[in-house]
Amino acid sequence: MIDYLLQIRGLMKRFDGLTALRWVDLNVPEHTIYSLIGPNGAGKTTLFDCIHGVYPPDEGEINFRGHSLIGLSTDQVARRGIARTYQTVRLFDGMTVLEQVLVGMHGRMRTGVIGALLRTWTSRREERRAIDFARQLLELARLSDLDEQFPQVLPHAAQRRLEIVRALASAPSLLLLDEPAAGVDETETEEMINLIHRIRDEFGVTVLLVEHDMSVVTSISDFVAVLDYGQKVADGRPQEVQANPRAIEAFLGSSPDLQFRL
Amino acid sequence: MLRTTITAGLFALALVTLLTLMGVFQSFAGRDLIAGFLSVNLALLIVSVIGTGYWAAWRGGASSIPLALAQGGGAGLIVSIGLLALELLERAIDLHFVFPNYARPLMTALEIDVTPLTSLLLVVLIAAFGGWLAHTMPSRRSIVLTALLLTLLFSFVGERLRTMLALVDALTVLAVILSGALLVDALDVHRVGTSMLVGALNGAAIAVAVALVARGGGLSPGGILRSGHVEPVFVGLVVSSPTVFVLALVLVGALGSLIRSLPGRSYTVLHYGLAMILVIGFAATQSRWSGWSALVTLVVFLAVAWYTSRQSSVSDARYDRFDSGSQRVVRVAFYGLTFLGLLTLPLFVGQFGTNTLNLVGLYLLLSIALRIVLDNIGLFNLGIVAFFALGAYLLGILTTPNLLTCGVAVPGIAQGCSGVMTFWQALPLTLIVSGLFGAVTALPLVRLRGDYLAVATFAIGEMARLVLRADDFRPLLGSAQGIAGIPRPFIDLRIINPAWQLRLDQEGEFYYLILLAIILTVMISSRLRNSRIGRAWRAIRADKRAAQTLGIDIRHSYVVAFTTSAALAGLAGALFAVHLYGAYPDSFTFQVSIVALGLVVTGLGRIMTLGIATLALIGLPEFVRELADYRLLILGIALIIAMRFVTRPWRSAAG
Repeated sequence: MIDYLLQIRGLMKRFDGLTALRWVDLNVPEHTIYSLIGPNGAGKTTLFDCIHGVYPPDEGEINFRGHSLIGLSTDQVARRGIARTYQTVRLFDGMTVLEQVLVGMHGRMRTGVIGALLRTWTSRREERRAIDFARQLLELARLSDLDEQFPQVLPHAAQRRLEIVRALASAPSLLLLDEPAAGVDETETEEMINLIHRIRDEFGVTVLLVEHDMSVVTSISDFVAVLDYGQKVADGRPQEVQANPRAIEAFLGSSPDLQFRL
Repeated sequence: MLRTTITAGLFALALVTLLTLMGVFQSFAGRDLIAGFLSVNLALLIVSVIGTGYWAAWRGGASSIPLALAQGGGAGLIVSIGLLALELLERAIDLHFVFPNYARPLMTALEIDVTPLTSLLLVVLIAAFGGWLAHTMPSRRSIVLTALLLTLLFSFVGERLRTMLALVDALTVLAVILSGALLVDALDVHRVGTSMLVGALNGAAIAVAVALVARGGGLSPGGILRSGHVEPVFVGLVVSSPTVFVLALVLVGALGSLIRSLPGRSYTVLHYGLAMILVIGFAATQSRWSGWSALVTLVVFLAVAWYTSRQSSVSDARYDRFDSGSQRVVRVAFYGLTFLGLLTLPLFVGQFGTNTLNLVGLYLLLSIALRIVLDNIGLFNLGIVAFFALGAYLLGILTTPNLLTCGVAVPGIAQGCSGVMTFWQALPLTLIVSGLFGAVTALPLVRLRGDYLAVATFAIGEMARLVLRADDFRPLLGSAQGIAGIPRPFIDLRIINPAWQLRLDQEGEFYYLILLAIILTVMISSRLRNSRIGRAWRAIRADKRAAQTLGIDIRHSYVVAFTTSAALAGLAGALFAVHLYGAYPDSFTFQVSIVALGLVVTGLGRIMTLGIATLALIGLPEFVRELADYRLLILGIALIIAMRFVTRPWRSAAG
């Protein structure tokens, strides 16, 4: 039996009679890129929110490294090693690019009030190391020479990359990416795919991502799961899923631009 | 086009009429800004008319100079016609019956016999100038406006400033700094250490030269160093303590030699500071704040505004070329110069000035404390007065005989109160308890958002006020009488030297305690802000959810911020109580919270701006008592202006 990093069993989530998630099972193996696809309103983001402690599921289990995440708050989940980005860019106004990444390292740093006030030797060393690591991450996102800039001046794709490395700064074992390529043009999408691959290969991070763009999904994923109306209709290797009649049906039933390009 | 002009004119007319009927002009009548030349109410009228012209031209687009002039002048015409009509009306019926403070704005302000036509023409001309301002380039406009505003400000306090220092004082300091910087340029020195050495030697040379002139009789009445009406304050030291004099100039020379390679903002600030010294020095040569003083002020500030607007980027570029070690030295030099200025300030400003500075300092302390929560986490805290009061009363309770310290309600003279602490013993305890209260308050606030949070913090402030007034706590808090007889701190170093003891009874001595507290507070605030903790705060301010997603514990961050903020507000309160020799409930009203909030917002997130705002809004009304009635009005206007800037990304990482 394979050891899964994230195991979800029988997940249910209802909002005032609307069932957003219905008996969803999901097994994410370690060091893989796992994509969640499905038409709008299929419950992909709700699933992310349930994993990340935004709201508790009504039923079901979410186990991360064998420990349940149910009942934990967002920041506790984050400190367990699950980082996340949002569908819309949520960078911090008024903080420089470098500082954004440093905030990402918050949970890994130890400096407290006393350390910060006295600038103790340990706190300065920690800060130096944090800045060094942040610069490495910025290099990964090709943002090195923009570290003193404010995020508003960056192009959209750069903001997305910054958000991903900010999440990566917390050294997670699992990274949840909500439509990382939304609003990003083709060449920049290439770069994004490259970045996500490097995150898996060089950092050993498991990536669970939601994506609409099928070219991204097929070229990037080790595994794919299809959600439709809150239900998982298919999962497996990308090729298997593409051949799965239920998956095709889920997409044919929705808007044409979401169809599989086979 | 015509419509916007008329609308602007009518709006302005309504505003000026309102001010007139309220009696603003009346209450300023008879106070001169420039003796025999410009009274405050005339200045007020001129400012409102310039504003009218500016507004009209700005709203109307002001695409060309004639158009801008016409729009400005047109709006001015409407205002002046309206005011003349008001004066005619006043002749027909008795307005004083309804508006007791009414005074004719045009006639009263001019205080000379002018025909209605002349006054009308003048108003139109001034309004047209306002229109021109709206049309001209922003850089030029900011130069003119800065100079005009500073001249106006200086004229307000001119009589007080005039006696601060003599012209030789100003010239000596300026000569040391400017010639040092020029020398460094001429010798083509690029290393920080060498620059400072050159500057120091230059300072020493000038000090020796001044000393020689003084020895040659320069300081005797009629001597070359005694021009003007004010005795040299600083140069006077050359006789009383020559070593201090020379050392001070060497230090100023060393630090000042770096003035041309400061970061742009510091460069500008320092140049304005030097201009101020020059202006005050010139004013000292006049027997009163005259038209000449005002003219020199205007010219000097115009020059400095123009010069710094061009040169600050050059200086910035030089600074950027330094390696990080040299940059640090340059920054330290700037802070050193500022610190030197602050350190010597009580020598110059006199008893009353020092007292005012102390008050400004206390408000600054409170504002910085509030800023930790407001600027960093973005929590609208309307209850800061509670912690201010807490600090004051805690210190009061611990340092005076009462129920707690003596064990009896009304201590007699005979009873020895063993529990009464000294200031230094009580202060740490005060800070700790204030901080704990802050932590406790933060816990319920974590769950509240926006308006509800503001209401909750408001309630905390009100609770404090009610507790202080409650009869139930009379034995401890003194109810309406408060706590009197809080002693000033006593510095006792008699163990080292029998002569070393000092009770900070003089305002000039107490000033240094406040200065020390401010420096500490600024350091605490900026170190926290730029640490892991401060970054978490700012992330929460920008996006609470996203911050949580990155593993930031909101509750913990709130508690830390409130604890720090409350402890520092407690420090401000403790010093405030010592300053007043007592803690009285009337000092701790909602208005304190509002004023501190207003100061922080007008401070635009920078300590330097916060200092200037506090000086202008707290210090100025002390000098100009007529302004005190309008303090909140002015604060409100400043707030509105500041709010327009707050929406822009003005914040930088350096903070």
